[in-house]
Amino acid sequence: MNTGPSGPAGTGETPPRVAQWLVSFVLPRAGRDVVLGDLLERFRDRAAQRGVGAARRWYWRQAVSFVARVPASRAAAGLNGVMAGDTVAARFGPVATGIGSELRFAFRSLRRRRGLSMAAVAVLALAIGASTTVFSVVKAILIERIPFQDPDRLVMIWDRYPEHPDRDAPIRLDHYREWMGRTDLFTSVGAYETTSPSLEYGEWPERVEGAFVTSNLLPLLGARPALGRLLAPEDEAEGAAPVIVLSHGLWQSRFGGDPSIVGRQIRLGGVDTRVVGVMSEAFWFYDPYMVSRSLTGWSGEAARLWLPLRAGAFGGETDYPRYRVIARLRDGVSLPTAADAAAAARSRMTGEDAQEQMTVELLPLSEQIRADSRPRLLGLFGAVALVLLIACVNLVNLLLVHVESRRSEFAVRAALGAGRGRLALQPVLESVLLAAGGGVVGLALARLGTGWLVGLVPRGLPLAHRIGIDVAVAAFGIGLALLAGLAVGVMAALRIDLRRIGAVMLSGSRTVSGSRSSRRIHGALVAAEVSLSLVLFISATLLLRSLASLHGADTGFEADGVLTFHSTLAVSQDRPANTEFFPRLEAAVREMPGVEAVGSTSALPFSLWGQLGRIEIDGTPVDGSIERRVVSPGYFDAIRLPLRSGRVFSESDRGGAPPVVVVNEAAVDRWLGGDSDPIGRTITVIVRDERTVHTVVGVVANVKHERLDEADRPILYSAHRQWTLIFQRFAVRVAAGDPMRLVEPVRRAAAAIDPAQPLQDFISFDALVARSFEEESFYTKILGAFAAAAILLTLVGIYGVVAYITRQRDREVGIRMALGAGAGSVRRLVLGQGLIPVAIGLGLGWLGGLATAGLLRGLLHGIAERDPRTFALAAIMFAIAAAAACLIPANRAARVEPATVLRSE
Amino acid sequence: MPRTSLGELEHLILLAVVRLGNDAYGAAVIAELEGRTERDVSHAAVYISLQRLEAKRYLSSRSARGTTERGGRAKSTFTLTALGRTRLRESALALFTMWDGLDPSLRGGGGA
Repeated sequence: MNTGPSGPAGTGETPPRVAQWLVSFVLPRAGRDVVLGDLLERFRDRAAQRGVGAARRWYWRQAVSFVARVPASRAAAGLNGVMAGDTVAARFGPVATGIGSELRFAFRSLRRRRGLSMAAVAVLALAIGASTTVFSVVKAILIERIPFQDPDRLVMIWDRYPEHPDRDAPIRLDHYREWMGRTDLFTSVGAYETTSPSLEYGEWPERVEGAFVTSNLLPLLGARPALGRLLAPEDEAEGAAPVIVLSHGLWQSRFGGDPSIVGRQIRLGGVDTRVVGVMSEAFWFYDPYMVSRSLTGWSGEAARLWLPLRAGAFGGETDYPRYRVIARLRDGVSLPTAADAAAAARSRMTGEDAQEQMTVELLPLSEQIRADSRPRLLGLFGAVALVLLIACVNLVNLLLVHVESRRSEFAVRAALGAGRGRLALQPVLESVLLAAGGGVVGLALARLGTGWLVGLVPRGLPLAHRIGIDVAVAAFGIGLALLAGLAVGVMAALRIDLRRIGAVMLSGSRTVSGSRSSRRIHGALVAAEVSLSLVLFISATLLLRSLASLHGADTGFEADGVLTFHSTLAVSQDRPANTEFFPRLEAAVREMPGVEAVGSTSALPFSLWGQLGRIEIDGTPVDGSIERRVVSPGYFDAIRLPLRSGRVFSESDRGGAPPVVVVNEAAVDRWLGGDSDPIGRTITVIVRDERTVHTVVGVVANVKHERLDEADRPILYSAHRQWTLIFQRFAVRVAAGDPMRLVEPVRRAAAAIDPAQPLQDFISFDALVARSFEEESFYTKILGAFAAAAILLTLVGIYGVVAYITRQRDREVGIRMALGAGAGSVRRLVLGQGLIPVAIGLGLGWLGGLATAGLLRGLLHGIAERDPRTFALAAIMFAIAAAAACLIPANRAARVEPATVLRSE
Repeated sequence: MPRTSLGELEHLILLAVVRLGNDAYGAAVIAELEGRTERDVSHAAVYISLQRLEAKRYLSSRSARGTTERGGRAKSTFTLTALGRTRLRESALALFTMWDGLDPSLRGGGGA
């Protein structure tokens, strides 16, 4: 039994916001509060009785019912009762009553033609769903303010090297202190430096992305603790006890949301560190470099812990540029003013060191976060606008068919005294009604769409965690739908010509063969649709072919069947690096069943790491820095990197033995003058002015290192026993099956050797390579989906129009056939007529494709933006599909029985 | 000529208002309908009917202050007017007259 309108439990649950907004949108202001209150009460009752999920679904059903019923009733009821409070509505009462009856009429007329109405709603829903989805992304990333306090006043301060004017270079400690002193420009200046310490907690130690921050940085951004406190100035003091602030996400995932964590000691990088606070859930800390460095996937939360940035850390050095600086502009100081003053100040700073002509750049934080994603997201927005335009053209076509087929009905109404305005209102109202339906269904599609999209978002797209449907996004979708409906309705209304309606009356109930001008208009609309969707189709095909060429690109190694993981040795004051850990782990993994080969490298291809060095050949330094990799002997086997000549490393290439290197073919060409027998040549490796002569013992094939479309680059390989580093990435090749099954055994083996050493970022080599074209793949999938939708809409549009026109010409076809025309010639007639606008559209689309190809620059690899083969392929495929869409009505026309058609007149 | 019979939902709503006495506001009316008829009722339909019944002067309404369980939102309570009482009686009478003399087996399943 029902317990009554209110229940104690469930209070505090809130109904879906978008549904709530929909209800208040359709209700008059005066009645709104009362109804929302009633709904809220019932919602909470339901939530208490049947669970929140069921209650939310119920609320959505109610909202849809309000949207479906209230507007018509409001208009029809002539505004009584609660609605009488609406003064504007009261003034227009009589007009509204008129619209009400028209609205009911429109509703009935649409219901009679259920097929057409459903097609129109589906067409619009598809387009509104796609547009709203893209808008939700654009809003989250480009429009909404970045999630910091008063974010428009925040700037990042970067150094610029004259040779890399576009690269953001970090700042030296002494310079940071000078910026802090500029209180005339900034109210506060904070600095940070990214880090990923090893967290020794739970079953395995794990490296966690985080940042060293000055104590003023987090308050500067508006951060608040959820528990405990943030960092304080005394935490930065030399010799202060080590403390840490956890992110909300880390606290939840690693510490189970235990509130007693504050005050506890946890082991971080081998040091006991006291947790002083947990960051609020809403706080999000972004660093472009952290995102690209983070290998463990995009969590929407770049930094997961914060440590005090001590001036004395890093050995107290002040001249190494490592500080990333965020400042808040003082009120009244504009960005250009600050930039000018900063430039002057920076030119005085450069005098003290060798880095001359360094300049400073003040970049608004919001630009820092958004600038990279803006052009592509706006491109997507353009693409989705095309889909919407195609849908609208389709809708105009459908509605015109609807209007034209009712000529006689209009004629009767005109004869009975309905004015042109009244008649013209009909298609407008019908179209707006259809649009409202399309908008609501489109919103539901957008919900699915955003879910799909969020799953695809490439790492490094900042703010993606905010993507979702909220009231503003829903309002955008519904507003867009209504606007589209209005525009389409007005276009269709303009086609109602009273004089011609009179002619219809005179000529009888049907027209002879569909008027020429009506056919021209339909033809023009089809041509427009074809051209717009061809533009999308060409772009999608270009991207798809580019992606295919990336997938098929020869990397030089074999990535399938290989597990990879990274490890950086845990090192602290009381714990020296365990340099035996890597070789022992490698030996242990090699013994595991199913393991074919195992090796390690300082930088696996596509792992976004790399080491640089300087070398001399025959006493001549090689220009700039060269790329070095430190590898174990098993490495080349593990990734199946072919040996071209000489030998790879062996375990005897160790400390006391003669120093040796292996180079790749590009290095032989570039450094050794293409020597046909480079084995035995020497290369001098320079590290901090110390020169060591190495002998080349082997040449291996080239491999791609960062991008599948990069040029071959020279690489120098050193033996891991001769050049020990504290980090290595392992590659484990399995004989068969999923390499990821080795994760647990590898972790256990590592723990048995040294439980303090963290292993991280377990990922198959395939997936690692695929990450390098994640962004391309993201945009290709979305644009592909849009192009598919556009083509579908266009084909439906072509079919609908040709079918309609053909049916109007049944009588003409009947006469032709009665006079001896064959089925083939009828088919040709219909096909020809349908395909002429298609051909015009293809031509225009081709030109459009040429004009917009430039937008794809940077996303295409191994294929030109205006690749003629792609353009031709897209046009031909489109023409075939269009012909198929025309063939159905053509075949129908060819089967017309002359006698039947002529008799029916 | 004024309509003498009510729609089914209108009829049910007027009865719910009578049953609820001084506390007949939207959510309570719906809870009453759902509780007694054991079926889901569309808020929009009830809302529209309440407006219509008020426009026909079968119901009168006054505003009341909101409570916490409705998020502090105002509510509108309804009372049956004299005219409403007459229509309800006429409508019920029409129903009873139609039922009169019919096979009792039709009355099964628990009605009014």
